[in-house]
Amino acid sequence: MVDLNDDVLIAYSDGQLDEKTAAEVESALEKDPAAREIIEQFRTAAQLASEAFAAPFEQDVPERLLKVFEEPAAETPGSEARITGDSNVADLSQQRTARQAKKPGFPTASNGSSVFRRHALPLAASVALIVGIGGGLGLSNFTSPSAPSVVAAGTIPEQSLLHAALERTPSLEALEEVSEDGLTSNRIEPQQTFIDTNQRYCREYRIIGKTTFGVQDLMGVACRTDSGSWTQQIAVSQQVSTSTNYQPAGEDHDVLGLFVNRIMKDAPLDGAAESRLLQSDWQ
Amino acid sequence: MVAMLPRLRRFAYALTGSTDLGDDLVQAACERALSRLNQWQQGTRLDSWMFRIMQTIWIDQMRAKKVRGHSYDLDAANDIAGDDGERAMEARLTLKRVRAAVGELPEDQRLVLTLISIDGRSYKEAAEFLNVPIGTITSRLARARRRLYEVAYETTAKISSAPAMESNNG
Repeated sequence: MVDLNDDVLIAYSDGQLDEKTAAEVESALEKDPAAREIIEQFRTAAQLASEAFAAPFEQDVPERLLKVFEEPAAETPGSEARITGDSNVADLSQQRTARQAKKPGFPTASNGSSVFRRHALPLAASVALIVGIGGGLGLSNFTSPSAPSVVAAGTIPEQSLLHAALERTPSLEALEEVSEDGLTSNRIEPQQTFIDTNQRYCREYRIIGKTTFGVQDLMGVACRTDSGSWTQQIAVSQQVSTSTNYQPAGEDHDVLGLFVNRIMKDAPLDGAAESRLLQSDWQ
Repeated sequence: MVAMLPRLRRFAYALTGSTDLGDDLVQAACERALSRLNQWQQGTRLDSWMFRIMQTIWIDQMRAKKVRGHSYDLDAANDIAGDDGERAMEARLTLKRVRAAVGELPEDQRLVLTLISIDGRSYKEAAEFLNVPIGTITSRLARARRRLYEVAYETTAKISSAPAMESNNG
């Protein structure tokens, strides 16, 4: 007969017992209302602890924390990478502007940093910030249902779908791969292309990965190095537990928008400029 | 580099008891991590590495400043917007007491509670992180959660038996 002491009960309440012991505890509990009450208390306490420290971080990431991840701007901006042709910066920048317009209080590049502190950006509980990561983003291993996955820092592998999409797919078009059994798929949509403060070409992208575990919605920014590889700058990932309650991400990606605004020099490239780059191997 | 700012901040908040101190800690940890990225072994968990950096910095700070019974900024969190029904008020007070109780826990219990009940790690992960047997994790966690429940429940009972909110002597 299993001893229903505190250690056993708390492990049971947290689902940390092996199946056999858990079954033994379960049957012992039927005759032990006092032990059931203790389990209830342990659960309540866990819930309270979680709630007590949960609130602020879903709403507001202080600017000083984001600043840590800013790369220092190049001291002498080279002129070769400047956007040429100011006639038609229209579509993509309008798209970003429209996205910003929907968010009251979203700071723009010009209105200073203090704005951010006053208008907390919404950041859902499920959102994890992954910064400067990307080596392992081979797109098959970012679907752990509870913990946001963390992938190796560095370069996006050249064989990966993400690399291919960044290299070749026009913004707002999609590149998709589906596994042979049809159960998992990854759909990558570049969102826009811009030049960052270090004079690199960068692209914001979105990946919707579907597996039998659910859907992962990830948005990120990668920048192209001179050698032709893409390095991850930031990724904001939203895990959606099952495909049935999948909701397209919206406001949750505001942290990403803020980051993009920080590193983006001038406006995003227009469609024509982007397509020239895509066709010329980014020369 | 760095992952999961909300998680890091929550962990730091529970560790330090203050959102500001917590953010200072996250900032220091991120800076340290960025400067030592080459020390992170690929394939190991980046989040655990970050947590460990935070824990190390915090322990150093505690030693340096001899911070004892550090003050918890109890009002910083959970200022829920909107109408303040009695229930909402009561819930807020409960959470406030829970935070105070967490702050008063022994450091080892607080860390276990934070890893498991706040960050959602498994017992095994917490044991590996702290390098102690699972049995130690379990008993620390049970003591911590019992204490939290006592604190939360005791005062909740007091409030609900009080005739009106005005009698709240808080």
